[in-house]
Amino acid sequence: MSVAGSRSEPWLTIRHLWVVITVAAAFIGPASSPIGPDIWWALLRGDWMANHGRLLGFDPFTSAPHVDGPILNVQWLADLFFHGLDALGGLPMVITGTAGVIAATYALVLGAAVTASGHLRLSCVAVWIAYALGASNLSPRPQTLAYPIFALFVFALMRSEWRKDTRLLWLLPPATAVWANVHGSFFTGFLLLGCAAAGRVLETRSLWAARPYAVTLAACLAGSLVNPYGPGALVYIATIGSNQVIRDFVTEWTPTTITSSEGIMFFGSLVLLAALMFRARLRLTAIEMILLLVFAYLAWSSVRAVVWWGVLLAPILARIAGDALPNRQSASRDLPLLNAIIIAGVVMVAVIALPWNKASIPLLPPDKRGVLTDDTPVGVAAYLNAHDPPAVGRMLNHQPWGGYLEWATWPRHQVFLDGRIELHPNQVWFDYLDMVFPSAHWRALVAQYEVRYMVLSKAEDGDLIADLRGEPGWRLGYEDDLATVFWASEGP
Amino acid sequence: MVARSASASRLLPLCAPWLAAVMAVLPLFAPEVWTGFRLAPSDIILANLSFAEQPLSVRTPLGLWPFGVALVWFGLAYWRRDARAWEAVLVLVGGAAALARVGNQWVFGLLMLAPLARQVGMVRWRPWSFGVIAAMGLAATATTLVVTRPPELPPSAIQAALTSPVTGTVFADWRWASQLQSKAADSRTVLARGGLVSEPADYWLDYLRVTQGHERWAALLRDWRVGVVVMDAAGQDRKVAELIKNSAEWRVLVDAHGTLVAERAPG
Repeated sequence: MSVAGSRSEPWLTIRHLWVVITVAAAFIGPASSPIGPDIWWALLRGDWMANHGRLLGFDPFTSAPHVDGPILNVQWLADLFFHGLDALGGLPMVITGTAGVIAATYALVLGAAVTASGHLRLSCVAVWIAYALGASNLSPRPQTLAYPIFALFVFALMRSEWRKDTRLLWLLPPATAVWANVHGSFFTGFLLLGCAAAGRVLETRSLWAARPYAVTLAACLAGSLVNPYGPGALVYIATIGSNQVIRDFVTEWTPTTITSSEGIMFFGSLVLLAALMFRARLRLTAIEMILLLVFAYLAWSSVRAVVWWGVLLAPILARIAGDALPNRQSASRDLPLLNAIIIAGVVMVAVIALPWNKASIPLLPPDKRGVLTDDTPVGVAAYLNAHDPPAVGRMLNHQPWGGYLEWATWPRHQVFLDGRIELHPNQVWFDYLDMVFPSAHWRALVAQYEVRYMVLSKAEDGDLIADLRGEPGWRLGYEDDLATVFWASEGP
Repeated sequence: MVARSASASRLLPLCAPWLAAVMAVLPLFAPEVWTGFRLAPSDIILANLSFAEQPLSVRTPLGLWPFGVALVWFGLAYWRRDARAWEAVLVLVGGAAALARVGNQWVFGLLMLAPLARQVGMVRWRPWSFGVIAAMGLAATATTLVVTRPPELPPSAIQAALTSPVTGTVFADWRWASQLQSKAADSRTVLARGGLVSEPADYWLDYLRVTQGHERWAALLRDWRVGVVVMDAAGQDRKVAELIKNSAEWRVLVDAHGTLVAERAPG
């Protein structure tokens, strides 16, 4: 179906229906999902900054030794954004606000796909594929706020390439200035523009032809310096990307392989792309080729980059699918009333999916009705909030729970580690792993870090729990299906 | 003489694409040279011991090579818009096998031969370009072999392990187990002598715990009735090697050239 429809269109066409369903689906998924593990310190930092009226240059939330020097928080604007949502309506509002951001992202992707292909329905299908590729990476956290900005970059590129309209490129430098204060992923915008410039040079054999993208890239580079740390933000990103512990131990930073659902989706998308490329008569442009190669490599190198791949892929996929697949004109008459009823139904589903409402849906299993995942240690947090920490010494916690526990119990309790790997020297992480493994040195390490109580996962720290049950000097203080809390004998 | 050179000039265009394809896929056979060729899915426990047991990724040594081979095939086929269905099937099946486990790359290499040779054969190449492909393939193969070669087990370590009077099984670094067993013949039982598939999953979990220096490492060795250990003290087993050296339960026989041999101390 062509975007350019007939002039005597009914007031609510099936094309409106496609758009509404596509954007609503991108909203309903995240709105009905429980909150992820990477939002808690953003909420805490936002709260701290709002209360103190200044940037947070240190880390009061974890007790493990920190890296030397000041701590850069390049996500401070995202922290404040999420804190604002939290202040407005608590965690349900955080989830809903994030769902709105994701819906905006995929609306922009849809715009980019329609711009590139001129086919609305195929563009919608391409956006669904993009959404499926990123679905596991859409939880509330600072990175999610970067998605609509990247989608704007893609949209601007498509407008420039296929409509010869470069006006949107002017938006990218200010967008980069925002991006650089929201999340460290702003280098993907540089990458996109760099690929576009390189592709333009290859196609035209002229450096001059790449001028719009090169100038925009330079302006974006300058825009990225508009942050409290100036060039330090760029150094921070380079440090994160090369951190050995992050690359080897953090699941979302590990390479994408076919053994994960994200990997199956990613490699499946490559096969689909290749099949359509063969079937279509049109050839991809040099810009598209370079973008696909670079972002496919990025997605293969790290699970968390698959979401960018999806956003970039959608318009290209829609364009070649429009050429490869038969263009069936809809013969059916539009029924505006029926369309209105369907749209009302979709909106109703979106409203029901909101976190405030889904708790009262009897069809949902009890563990899907809340805003927290099943493995959130709610019982432990309640227990800790009822008990003071020892006068001296640290808590050792199951690291994936660090974020939630600090959100739920700070400042009364201070967790040892949370998900912010870069805050602590690598040796601290190796020692943490040695303690929970537990290695033959765990007792020495517990003494070295002055650990006086431990919050452990029954599923993942079973060997250490077994040791502690029979260990003189330690006693069990709390236990439920998920977790245990052990105290050194002098504890509460 | 003239007839021979004429037939050679006819043969060369036929053979050259196949030779180029063989050279291009040769590095894909390298990862399994040291451990034996097999087709299997990746294993989450064994993946900690050998990169060949991991799913293929960009961080695999020369992990981009198979990707490059597939890309060359695709690029040539897309350029000419000429790919047969059988080619696509072979590439997909081989690609899935390689993605599932690095050690399966040899299957990908075998299956890529015909599609690659066909695509290469349809392009007019300059003669020197085949030389470049051959040189790159050989260099990549040699690099992979060197990178993945297991450390050498010194003769003194073999001697010490096999002449120890202490009874019980031999717990050796998995890369040395079969070599030790072949030297020991029937005089000793070396655990994991048949390679990574020769022991149950429980053993490999315990093996990992021991070599990573788990708190129960000594008890686990007792559970497996181990009398002698042969460890790669400079590499994969360095954590437990340190523990063994400082343990009263073990007596060190050899500690040289990155290898540690110890026997259970009397009493």
